[in-house]
Parts: sequence; structure tokens; C-alpha cells
Amino acid sequence: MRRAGPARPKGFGQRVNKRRLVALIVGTLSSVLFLALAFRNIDYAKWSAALGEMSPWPWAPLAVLSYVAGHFLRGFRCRKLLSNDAYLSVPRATSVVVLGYAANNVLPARLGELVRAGMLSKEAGVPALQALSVTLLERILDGLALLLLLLLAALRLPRAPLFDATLGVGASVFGLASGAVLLAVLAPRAITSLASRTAQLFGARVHDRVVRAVTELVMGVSYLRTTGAALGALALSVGIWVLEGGMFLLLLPAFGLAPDPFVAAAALCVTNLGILAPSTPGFIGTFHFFCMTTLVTLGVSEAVALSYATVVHLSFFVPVTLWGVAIATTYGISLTGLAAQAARAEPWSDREERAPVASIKPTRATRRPPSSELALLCAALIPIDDAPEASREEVLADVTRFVESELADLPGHLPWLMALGLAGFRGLTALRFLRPLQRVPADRLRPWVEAFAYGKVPPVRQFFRALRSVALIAFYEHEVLRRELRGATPARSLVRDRGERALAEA
Amino acid sequence: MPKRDAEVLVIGSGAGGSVTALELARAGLDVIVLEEGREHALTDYGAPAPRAMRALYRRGGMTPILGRTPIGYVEGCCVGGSTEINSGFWHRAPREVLLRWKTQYGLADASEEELAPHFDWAEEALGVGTSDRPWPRSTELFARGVERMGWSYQEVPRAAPGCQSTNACAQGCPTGAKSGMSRSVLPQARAAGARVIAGVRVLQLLTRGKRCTGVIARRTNPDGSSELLRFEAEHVFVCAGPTETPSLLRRSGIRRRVGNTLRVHPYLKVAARFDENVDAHAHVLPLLQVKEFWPELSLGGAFCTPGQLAMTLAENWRENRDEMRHHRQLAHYYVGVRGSGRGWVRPAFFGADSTLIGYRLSEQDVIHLSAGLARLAALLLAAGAKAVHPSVAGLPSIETDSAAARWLTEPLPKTGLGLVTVHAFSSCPMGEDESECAADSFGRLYGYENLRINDASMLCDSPGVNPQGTIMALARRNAQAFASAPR
Ligand SMILES: Cc1cc2nc3c(=O)[nH]c(=O)nc-3n(C[C@H](O)[C@H](O)[C@H](O)COP(=O)(O)OP(=O)(O)OC[C@H]3O[C@@H](n4cnc5c(N)ncnc54)[C@H](O)[C@@H]3O)c2cc1C
Repeated sequence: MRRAGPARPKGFGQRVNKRRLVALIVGTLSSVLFLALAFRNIDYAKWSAALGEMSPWPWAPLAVLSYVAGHFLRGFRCRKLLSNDAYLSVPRATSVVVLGYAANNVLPARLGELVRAGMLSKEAGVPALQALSVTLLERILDGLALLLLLLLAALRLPRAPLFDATLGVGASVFGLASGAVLLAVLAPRAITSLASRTAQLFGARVHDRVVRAVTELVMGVSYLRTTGAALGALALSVGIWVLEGGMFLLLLPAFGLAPDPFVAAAALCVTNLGILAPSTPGFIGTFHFFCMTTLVTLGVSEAVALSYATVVHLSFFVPVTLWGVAIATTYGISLTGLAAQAARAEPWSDREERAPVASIKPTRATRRPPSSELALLCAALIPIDDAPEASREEVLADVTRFVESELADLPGHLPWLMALGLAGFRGLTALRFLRPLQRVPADRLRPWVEAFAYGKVPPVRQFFRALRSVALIAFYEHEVLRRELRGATPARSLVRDRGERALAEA
Repeated sequence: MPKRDAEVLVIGSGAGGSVTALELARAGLDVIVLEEGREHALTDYGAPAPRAMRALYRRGGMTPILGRTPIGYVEGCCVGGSTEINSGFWHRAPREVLLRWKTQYGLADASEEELAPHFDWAEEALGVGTSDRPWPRSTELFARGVERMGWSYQEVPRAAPGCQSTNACAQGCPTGAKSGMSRSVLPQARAAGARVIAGVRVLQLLTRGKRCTGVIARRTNPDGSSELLRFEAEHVFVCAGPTETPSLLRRSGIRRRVGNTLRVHPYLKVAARFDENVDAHAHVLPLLQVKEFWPELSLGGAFCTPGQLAMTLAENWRENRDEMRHHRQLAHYYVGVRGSGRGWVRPAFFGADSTLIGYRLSEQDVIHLSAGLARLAALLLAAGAKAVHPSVAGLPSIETDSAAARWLTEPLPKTGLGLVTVHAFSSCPMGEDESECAADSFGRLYGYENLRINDASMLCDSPGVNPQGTIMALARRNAQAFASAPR
């Protein structure tokens, strides 16, 4: 069992503080370096003139609004990513996200990410490492979305080494990270197993910690297990960055620059990928340098570009920091409290001797109606007309639900093959009837489905065998059908009668 | 001495695990049985097939055997394992098989005579015997067919004393007449001190050098939450069944001769329509087997419910679906072959925790299945069947002797076969021949001092008869040998 507070083994505090101190020093040096680079050729008079000439109204408020809206979408995404294991309302999830952003603005070494994970763990009641894993996943999704947007922009804008370099570095970093996530999503058991086998070499204590860590980290990415969910999360991430890009776009006209969405996208992406470099809290220096360099690359004068970067940074920094302070006040969290939240998400907290190696929350069961497409397929595979008319709907729903759960229970990669096959079948159906499967009349769909399920091509027939076998068994073993079949004694009552007689005899 | 949870951990509570737990507990050892499935009351048994499949079967019954000719396979996942959903047919390991195991695999101390006391014990414990009730019509018709063909049959003894013919064996016997492990051996094991923990799936064996120090297991709570737990013990017996034992071993890095030699008895089912009401769905399955053509072939009766009939007819559903209107006249039979093909078992790399199984049906198997179908169809036609519908895609129903005889010489189309099996074994064969076997003659895994297997996976190869008896007898022998050896 975990102790109530952020538990620390001996020496932990010192170790952590030392690490943070080093990060702070490196960050500050890096910030100074980037600031120096940004201001290297700046004519201060021109810079302050450009700032003075800026027309904030209505651009600045609109820009801030767009950025703030992006945070609500982030909250929504965070809620989605956790939805298998916990319920978190959008406002609550947004608060957690904003608090993390605000903490990044005031605490060194991107401590905000840990703050966010710690808060998430507390608010959603999930293990700390799972929350950290969700936070990391959000970051990777962000990276992928940014790369996508930058690619789009680079295709439209004049070719520049800055874009190529950013794309190259970004693709390597996020490609590797996405590969790791993909592996954790596709082969969670294999990963835990490998971790367990490797960690066995280091004794029980280390083994159990490693297994726990890996289990929780893997749980954090489990939302992506279906293709739909994964694509949805990526689409949401693109949406988030389009809204944040709105801030970059809306501030362009404030400096008399044309509101070109591709220029804004390029600035957004290069800046946000650039601030992965170490810096002071709030990304001072790195933010300015990368934002300014993008505009300069696209032909904007250095003074205007730096003024623009300064204002974008303020719009990025001030509202969220204030919002974060407001949230922290509501939650009653002080600055040291934030550090405590971060420590909650530290991977190596101590545990009691005989505690479970890891605890896994129940997956939240949402009783969805059975898939309408699968219902149509089932209806085409079973003689539904043999069921009494009044119960047909109920029987079909039960059959579909059973088939759905059975297909999901297929081992290994087979559920994906099944999904792929069904997608192919859907495509072929759409081609054949020039309308989606749902809109094909039942009397035309049945022979079409039967041609596949009972046709001459063995792999296709075998693909449908699983489907039709479970559908038929669910249909004919349905209580309504057993009653209906002429002369058949309902199995359950037969069993009960004889069972009770036998028990009575005993 | 490090702290241990038990002296012996037994993984799995099926035919092998229950017997192991009982013998070791009786020998005074402190035993914990970890069983992945849940414990069910008698009142939960006999539910409609879909519900029973979800509750009692591994992955709800979705454990297909992959290959060019895929085979439908199911096994139990509940306290008692597959013995809770099997039909309880009982055979002793034939002398010929034991001889083969001795010569080919070097299996020591497992002659017919040496195993006899273990079979005697098991038969007594499970109340194995033949039925004293009148035969159901589906059995009578089968007997008539066998007699008319001039062959012989035997009523197979069953581990189901006082069977009430509810035909619910595969859904868990609701009368408690069938001696599944949960009603027979496990209560005795508990009485002897073994602790059975249900709902705990072992994920990984923890090994250090030549020793297994314990396991990591996932306990699933009724609310769906779960914990990973560590159990430590002096000795570990893996009895997780023919597919899960090799999967667990391989996942734990133990691969030598593990999971490469799976054998099964492939079955081809037929639905026979008679011109009278047989009402096979309302009675226990046909009780006879023809062993005339053993070891290559056996003919017998299969579970018969409307759902299962439909699955057999489904291979040619467009032609056969109307037969379901006469389902009272239909009965279900099978041709089973010894299975000379080989299969593999692997923990799935992708997806959640699961196991992939594959099998390559041999040409020999196809020839035997074809000849078997010819004989079974002829038998059923002789018994009065009007049509025999084999579960072979593209094959019309057999209505004449000559249509049946065709398959005596012609092989059935391999890719059209709709095969099933419930008998799998030999995925970690035991014997003294280290080049063939994963474990020694008493189930100790080569390369490990305290890690043993004791279930269907240890059979050297296909026994050619229903395997539960052989598994229990060997498991008892191994457990007793372990308990009596100095440690
Ligand atoms: C429908 C059906 C009908 C059959 N009919 C007959 C018959 O009539 N006669 C006959 O002789 N045989 C029959 N059999 C076969 C016979 O039941 C099996 O061969 C026998 O039960 C195998 O014994 P076992 O101990 O190897 O495996 P099982 O009895 O299957 O037991 C294995 C147990 O281990 C558990 N387990 C698996 N993995 C783990 C894990 N990682 N952690 C914890 N627990 C785990 C499983 O849940 C299961 O309870 C039938 C089988 C089936 C399915």
C-alpha cells in the first residue's frame, strides 16, 4: 500500500533537489544563450518601435481566446485518454492540464509535467505512473500533431533549412517515442513479461518495482488500443494545435503582417518543438529565438519578428499562469504543494513489503448498444425470421452482443485481423451497392453476405466461420428460440426439472 | 531461509492440478492452488450455452487452432478446468500407447501395471462406470448401425455416476452428477489442507538459475479491479493445461522443447437426419464408441443442441438450413482421428495476455478422416438415417452407401474441413529422451530443480483415447513420486 503523502526513500530529497538544481542551471544558461542569439543583431529602437506600433485590438484578446479554447480541448483529450479507467469531467481535466502548464511556467526543468501527472493521479484516482504515462502520451500526440502541421506548412512555404532540420529532429524524436508507445499499445503483455524477466536478475525488490512501473506505464496508453480511438486522439491533438495556432495567426495582423495560416503554423510548430530545448521556467529565450527565427526565415524583419515573438510569448505565458494560480488557489495548493504533486508522480516511491506488486483499476464498463453494422451482418447470417416477431429485436441484439464480445476475446492479433476483414467487407459492400452497408436492404444484403460466408474461397469462408458460428450458436441457444423450436423442451427448465429431481433424490 | 507463501504452488485446478494438490496435501505439504477461473455453485451450471461459454470457457470459447485447416478448440477456465465442461468419457491409456511412449520417448515407470493403481484410484474417486439407465434413442440408433455393419461397440464408462441425462455436460453439469474436479477431487484436496485461490492468473514464473522462486499472478476482484501479486514457494507445479502451460513457460523464458509438439485429436462432426424423432437435444450424448479402427480412427456421438447442430450444418448452410426445422430428427456424431500432425503453442506477442495455437493437419489425418467419414456415414445410413450432413464445406449430404463409400478412397478437400477438437496434449512431452522431451519421466522440467509440469501437456504424444484418465493417473504417479522423494 502506498503511504498517504509523497513517500520518499532515504536520500531521495537530496537526490531530487540536486537533479533539479542541475536542470535549473543548465536551463538558465541555455535561456541566456538563446536570448543572446535572438538579440544578437537587434536594433533596439526598431524593436521598441515595432512593439509600440502594434495594434492589440481586437487581435490580442482573440489570440488569447483561441489559446484558452485550446486548453479546454486539451482537458477533453485528457479525459478521453483516461476514460477506460476513470471518470474525469472536462472542467476538472482542464484544470489539471492548466495547472501543469502554469507550473511549467514557474517551475524549472519542466516540473509542470510531473505536477500535472501528480494532480491527475489524485483527481482520477489512478496510479501515479499511469498518470505520468498519460501525460507523456499527450506530449507525444502533441509532437505528432505539430509535425503534421509543420509538414503541411513546409509544403506550402518556400523551402528552408530551418523547416527541414526541425522536421528531421522532430521526426526522429517523436518517431522513436511513437514507436515505443505503439509497442506498449500493441504488445503490453510481451513488454511486461520482458521487463519481469530482465528485472529478475536484480532481486525481488527491484523486480517488483520494475514490473509495477511498466504495468502502470503500459496502462497509461491503453486507451489507444482501438484504431478509432488512436486516430480520434490524434485528430483531437491536431485540433488543439490548430486552436493554439490561432493565437499565432491572430497576432500576425497586430504587427501589420498578412494573416497567413501557413506562416502561423510554421511559427507555432518550430517554436513549440524548439522549446523542448532546456530553458528557464516559462521557456524564456528558447521561445523567442525559435519564433523569431521562423518569421525571419520567411522574410520578416528581425525587429518585427522579435516583437511578435515577445507578444506571442506573453499571450502564451500570462493568461495560463494566472489561470493556473487561480486554480491552485481554489485547490489550496501552494508552490511547495506543487512540488509535492510532482513528487507523487516520481516513479520510485517506496512501498510496503507485502503489498501487491501493482494495482489495476477496473476498466469502466460502458454498456453500449451493439454495433449496428455487426447487427446487420448477424441478421444476414442467422434465420432471424424463425424467431417470433415480437422478440426479433431482442434476439438480434443479444446475438450481436454475444458475437461482439466473442470476437473481442479472440487471442493475439486476431481481433485486429477480424476488424481489418470487416473493414474490407464494408468497403466491398459499398463498392458493390454504391451505398454504405447500413443502407443496403436486408433482402439484398443476405445473399451478398452468404456468398462470402459460404462461398468457394477458403480464407474468406474461414474468416466468416468464426462470425457465423458464434452467431448461430447464440441464435439457436437463445431462450426464445429454444422455446420456439417445435417440440424442443426449453433447455433450462429441462435442466432445472432434472436437476431439482436429482438434488431431491440426493 | 526466505519467506515463502507455501511449500508448493500448483498452477491450475483441472484434471492434473487437482490431483497434484490432493496428493501433495495428503503427503503433508503446504499447498496453494492458483486458478485463473472462478469457482461456481451448482446453480450456476447448466445455463444457456452463450452464458456458460462466457463463464466457464477460456476466452468465452474463442481459442481457435490456426493453420491451413483451422480447428475449433475449447477448454475450461474455471475451478476444475476442462473437467467441468467435458462429457466425462473415461479410458485407461492403452497398453500399446504406453509401450510407444516408453520406446520413443524413454518414458520410465509408466507401464500398464505401474499405472493400474492410479487408474483404480481415479475411477473410484470419480465413480467411473457405465450408465444403468435405458440408452437414449441417439445411442440406440448408433448401436443399430454398428450391428448392421458387423462391427462392435462399447459403451464407454463415464465419470458421471447418477447422470440425469440433462445434456448439459458442456455447460457444467447442473445436477452435480458428473465428477468434475470441483465436485470430486478438489474438495478432498481442500480437506487435506490445500488452499485453492480462484480468480488468480499466473502471468510469469520467476526463476533464478536452476530454480523457480515463485510467480507473479494477477488476481481479478469481483469489481473488475485487479492486483499483481507475488507468490513464493519451494516448488512449483505448472498444471495450466495443454495450451496455457507451454504458453506460461515460454513467456517466462523457458523454451527448451516447450510448445513445439502439440498434438490433438481432430474431430469431424456429422448431423444425421432420421425419419423419427430422436430428440437428441433432450438427452445425454450417444454413449458408444466404435474402436474397430483404432488407433487411427474412432467413431462416436457428440453433444447435440440446436446451436451445435446449426454449427455443423453451417458448412453448407444454404443447402442445409431447412434441416433445422427437423432438428428433433437430427443427431450428432463424430469421426475422431489420432492426429499425426504437429502443432505449436506461443504466448501472443500482440494484444492483451493470450495464447496462440497452431496445428498442421497431416495428409495421413485427412486420409483417416475421409475413410472415417465413409464408415460413419455408412453406419448411420444402415441405422436408418435419411441423410448425413458432414461439416465439410462444399460436400453435399450423403444419402446413399455409394456416396459414403467414395471417401474410402478419395481424400476430403483439406480446406473445406470444418474440424473441432477438445483433446489437446503433448505440448511439453515428458520422458528420459532429452532430445524429444521438455521434462523427465516424472514431469520435472529439464534444467530446473524445482519446476514441474503435471497436466495434459506432459503426455508424450496422442493417446488416441479420451485423455482425462491418463492425465489423472500420470499426475498422481508424478505427485506421489515427488512427495516420497527426499528433498
Ligand atoms: C468440451 C470438452 C469435452 C471433453 N470431453 C472429454 C471426455 O469426455 N473425456 C476425457 O477424457 N477428456 C475430455 N476432455 C478433455 C479433458 O477434459 C482434458 O484433457 C483435461 O481436463 C485436461 O486436464 P489439464 O489439467 O491438462 O487441463 P484443464 O483441465 O483444462 O485445467 C487447466 C486449468 O488451469 C487453469 N489455468 C490455465 N492457465 C492458468 C494460469 N496462467 N494461471 C492459473 N490458472 C491457469 C485453467 O483455468 C484450468 O482451470 C474434454 C474437454 C472439453 C473442453
